[in-house]
Amino acid sequence: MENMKSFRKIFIFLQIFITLVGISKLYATEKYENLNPDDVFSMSIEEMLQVVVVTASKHEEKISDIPASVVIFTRSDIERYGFVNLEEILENVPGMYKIDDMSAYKPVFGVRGFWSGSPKNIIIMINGVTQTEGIFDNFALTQFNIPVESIDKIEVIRGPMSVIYGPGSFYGAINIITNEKSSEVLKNIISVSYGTYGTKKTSLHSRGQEGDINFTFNAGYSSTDGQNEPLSIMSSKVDTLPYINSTNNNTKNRLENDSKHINISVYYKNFSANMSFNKSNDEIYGLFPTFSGGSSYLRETAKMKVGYEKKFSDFFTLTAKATYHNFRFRVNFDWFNFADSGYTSGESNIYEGELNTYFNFSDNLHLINGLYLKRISDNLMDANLHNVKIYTKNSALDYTDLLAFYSQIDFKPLDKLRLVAGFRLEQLLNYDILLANNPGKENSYYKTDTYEEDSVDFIPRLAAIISINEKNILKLLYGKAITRPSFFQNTDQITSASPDLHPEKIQTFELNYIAVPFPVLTINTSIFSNILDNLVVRTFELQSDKSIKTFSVNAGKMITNGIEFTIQTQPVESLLVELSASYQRTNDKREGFENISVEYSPHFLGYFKGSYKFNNNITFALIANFVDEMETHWKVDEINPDGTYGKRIGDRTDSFFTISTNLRVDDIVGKGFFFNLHCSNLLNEKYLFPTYTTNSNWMDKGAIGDPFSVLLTLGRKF
Amino acid sequence: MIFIPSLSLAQDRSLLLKTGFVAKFAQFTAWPEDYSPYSENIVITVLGDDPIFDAMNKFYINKKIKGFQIKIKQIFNINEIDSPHILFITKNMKSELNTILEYIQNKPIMTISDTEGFCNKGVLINFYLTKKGTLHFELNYKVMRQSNLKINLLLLEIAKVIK
Repeated sequence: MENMKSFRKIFIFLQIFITLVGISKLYATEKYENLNPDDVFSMSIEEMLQVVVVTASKHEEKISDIPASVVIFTRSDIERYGFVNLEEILENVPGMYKIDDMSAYKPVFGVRGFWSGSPKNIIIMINGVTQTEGIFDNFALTQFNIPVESIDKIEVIRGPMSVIYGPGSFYGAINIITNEKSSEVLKNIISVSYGTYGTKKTSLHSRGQEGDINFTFNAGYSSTDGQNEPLSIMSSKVDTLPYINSTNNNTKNRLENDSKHINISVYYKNFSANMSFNKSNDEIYGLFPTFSGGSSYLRETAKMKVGYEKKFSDFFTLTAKATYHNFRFRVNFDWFNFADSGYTSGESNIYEGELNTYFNFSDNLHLINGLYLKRISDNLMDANLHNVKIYTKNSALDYTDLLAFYSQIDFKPLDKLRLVAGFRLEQLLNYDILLANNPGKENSYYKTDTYEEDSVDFIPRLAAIISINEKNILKLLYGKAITRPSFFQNTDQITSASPDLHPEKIQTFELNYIAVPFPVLTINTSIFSNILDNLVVRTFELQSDKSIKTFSVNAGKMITNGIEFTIQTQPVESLLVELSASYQRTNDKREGFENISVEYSPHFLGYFKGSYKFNNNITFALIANFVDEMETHWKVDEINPDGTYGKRIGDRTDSFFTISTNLRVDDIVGKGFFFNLHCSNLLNEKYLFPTYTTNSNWMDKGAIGDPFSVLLTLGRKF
Repeated sequence: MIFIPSLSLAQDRSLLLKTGFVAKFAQFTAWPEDYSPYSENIVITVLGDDPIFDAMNKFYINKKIKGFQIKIKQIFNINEIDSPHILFITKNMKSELNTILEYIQNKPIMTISDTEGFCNKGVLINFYLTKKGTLHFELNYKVMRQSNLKINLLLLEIAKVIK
């Protein structure tokens, strides 16, 4: 208690330091615009004088100078390769791979050999607004369904970034920017798409300027019927599954999805505002195969942010922002012999406040300080699964408060050497949880408990950037990050009467070398080592009555060592080629796991991307991806015939190789019309994703991978 | 996807615009008819080590100014200055600026830089960043009058003129 009071005093004192967090702006260069030499060559001098090259609060920064391993996709990259959604973009980031087990979170991405089953290890932001929620603390892509046509730029900042972005940025942060200010009076992009599996999409992107007001409006709708495949591809137990017969032993119309997204940004002098609304309905497989039309997961999110930024002088800049998030979900289960087997639902509100100062002592010395508060309120989850007689209602009895202060210094002692050192102090305050079993019924049972893990976490990072010369740059990076247990995980612990969970931790050491031996050739090499500790794993205890109690503990420890290698070359103006390969080995350091291969951890990943531009407005692209084989989860309490414990929940999945192509025609008849034809998995490679615990009851072979599909898009820029 | 420097000019908007402006300056300027042995080219020389050289090399591929091919050179010593049409003086030549300007005095060479203070010291055109974050340029009127270059008045109207 005394520690808490002292820490609050420190926070009050530290409020004097107001911080700039355009950190994301500080490190996110605007240089990677959709401007290209041909554009500039044809612009008038007056037009060129209007182009913003830097925002007011930061100095020019090349990506080679950014103290992190960064990957950037511009709008022209997205158009060139015809990426149809955010998933496809992220699949082409070195070291990233997805697993879609058709359950609640849809695709979840792993990074550098680590995949945790829930999308909570990379922070995702849209225009600086985190896309999280207060119940599961995760960043499911289906929570925001951003249309790719809205995206001006995506910055993928890899490596532990908790100093700047807080918990959840285990493997980094992704910032999706849809509201870049433009000097043009008005710019609109409208598109409609139609494809296989009944896929339909439409989007509108509009931005402009009226006096001192800059605005951007994005809206999108998408729907799909999903694949139609027999369950026997995923399960060897189909014939023995209860209530599964010839009418429902396939995925037809059971993997439908539709989503709507709106995002509005407004800038007025020093002020900014951003609002977004998203509603998605995904049909899933949750625990058991679907009996009728499909189990569905409905999500609704609303987010509102207001911000203020002012450069008081060359020395001092201040930014502040306040954000409100609302999240609601409802899962309707379609199990056994009931189309309506019950539901789970929940809601949460998050209030965030952030204050940042940026001190520019000289060209070679900058200091950034930040103060952050997150308050989660009204957390509520309930379940009414009458089919299996589970009725619960769990809620947080008070606010869940997270406080943080961070500071980062950026120093350039020599012309060729830049040092960055930062830290974050963070504390999650205690909060009470109420669990109610069978509420309102005769056998109701209530339990309250307090999540008491309120220690102050110290999170450091260090970076050294050595500019050997303009063609060779070496970065030495060290960082630490944490991921806190969610409200959902904490309720689970209380239910099983288990101790509080602590934050999971990661430390990363990385050596990144960028070489440009020729102007048309760039080579990027990273050698990395990640130490993951305190990972939340399931364990079990044999009870005196010989029953098994399973619960979560912070007992996981893994070490990953790996290398990434990427080449980019543009031998002629029209041809752009990129080749990437990643190799990693992860070892599970828990006792007894020495000979058990780590789950969901492909050793080898690779991709090839090539695009060729004909006649200035026709682009053809080819993308190839390779993902190595993967093991499934090792279930520690699974009893083997010989009486020992522990076995895999499903089969190992084979490696797979897919090829996609894209044809884009821009500015048809000189009126801004465009046409895009995208083919995914052109060779119709049949592959499986390894099954996860959610569907391990029946999906032993794995979840079906993405099929061959075609998407045709027509649109206009005007 | 871009995550490495200098591969594409789109990677550095500022460099891209500077090279674009240089092309515009050349378009709005006439050199004496009997100047330069490179009668089929417009020669731009970059004096010093700076990424603008690579940027220009990529930018001007297959481009022409007033019907002339563009040739880019990079030199590191003053006495290597030949007879370029445009001489881009980089930041790291700051200590030798006076010597450079004396060396090329009376020659019809358009000098350009992107370093604070160079225009006041005698460089014809210098780039600078405005408060809005846009790229602009200043022009030394006295140097312009003394040179044998014929510069279109449009540039004068647009530039920030240093007298």
